Amino acid sequence: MPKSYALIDCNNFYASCERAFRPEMAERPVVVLPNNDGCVIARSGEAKALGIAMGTPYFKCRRMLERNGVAVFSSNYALYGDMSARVMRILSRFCPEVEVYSIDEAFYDLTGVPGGATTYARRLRATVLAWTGIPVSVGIARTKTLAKLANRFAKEQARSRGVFDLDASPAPDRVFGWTDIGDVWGIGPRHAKRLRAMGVDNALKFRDLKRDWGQKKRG
Amino acid sequence: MRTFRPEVGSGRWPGRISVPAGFPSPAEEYLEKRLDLNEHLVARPEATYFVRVSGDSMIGAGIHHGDLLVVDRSVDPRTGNVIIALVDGEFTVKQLRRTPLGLELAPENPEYTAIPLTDDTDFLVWGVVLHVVHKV
Repeated sequence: MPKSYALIDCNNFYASCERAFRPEMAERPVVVLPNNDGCVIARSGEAKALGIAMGTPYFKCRRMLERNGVAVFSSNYALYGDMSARVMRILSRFCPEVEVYSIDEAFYDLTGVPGGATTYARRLRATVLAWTGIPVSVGIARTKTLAKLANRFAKEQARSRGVFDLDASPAPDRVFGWTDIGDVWGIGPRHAKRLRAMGVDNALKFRDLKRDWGQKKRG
Repeated sequence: MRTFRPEVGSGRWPGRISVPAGFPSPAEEYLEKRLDLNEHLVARPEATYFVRVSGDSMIGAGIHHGDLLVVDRSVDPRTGNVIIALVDGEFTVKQLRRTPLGLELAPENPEYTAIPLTDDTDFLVWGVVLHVVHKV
C-alpha cells in the first residue's frame, strides 16, 4: 500500500493564537512583534495582503499599520507554547504517532485510516479549529517532501478549504508547475538560484530534470 | 473578560512523604496523590480555558464578578447551557434558552434583558461553561 503522509501546519500561528481569544478580530489584519517591539515576526493573511514584509522594523511600518487599522500584539510565548501543546495533543487523539516538527507543524502517517486520508484530515482540521480557534492546513502525499508541497497548495488555494491530497489530485502536474522551485523542501536559496539560471523555476521542471541532472553531477 | 488557560498536562503531586524504617504509616498510600482540581474540573485539557468574569448579569446562576469560569470548547452547546458567546464582536456569558419566539441569550439578573438570536444577530458560541470557581 502506498504511504500517505500528512503535514499539518497552523496558519500564521502566532497571529492565530492572539486571534483565538479576540474573535472580534477575525477579519482584521494582525501582526505580532517580539517583546521589545523590534520588527514584525508574524502576520495574519490580511496583513500579508497589505504587503507588510516579515522582519519589517516596527518604527518603519507603524504609521502604515495605524492607517490600515492593523491590530498589533507583543509576542506572548507562554500563550503560543500552550496553544501548540493543545494542537499537538488534539492531533495525537487522531493518530498516536505524531511527529512534532516545530511549534506549529507536525507530520502524520495517515496510511490506511478509515474513510480515507482526506475525510480524516477534514475532521481533524474541524476539531482543532473548534477546540482551539486555530486554523490549520493539511497537505497529504506519499512522501514528506511532497506533503510539504501539498500543504502549501492547501494553504494558498482557497478552493482546497485547508486540506489537499496530492495523490488524489486529478492534475498533480499542475500543482508541481505552480510550486516555485525555492519552495521545494530541501532546496535552499543558493540551489534555487542555480536551478533558476538553468531555467528550472518550478517543481515540475525540477522533477522532469532530476534523474538526468543527478547523473551528470555524479559523472 | 480576561481569558486564562490551564496548564496542559499539569497536575501531579510531585512530593512523596518518606516514612522512617519500622512500622509503615497506615496513611502512606493516601499521601501519594492529593486532590487535584484539574482532574475534577477539566475533562479535556486541550479544549478547556479559564475565563475571568466581569459584570453581574449572571448573578442568579451563581456567577459573580471576578469568578473564574471553566469553559470547554469541545462541548456542543445545547439549550439550557451557560455559554460564552460572541455577540457583535464582544464576549458575553449568558444562558442559551429556547423561547416560543426562538433562541435567546438570557441573563440571570432582572436588571438585564435577554438578547434574542435572529438571523441578523452577529453571534458565535465560543465555548460552554461547565464550572464556576467562586471565592466566598
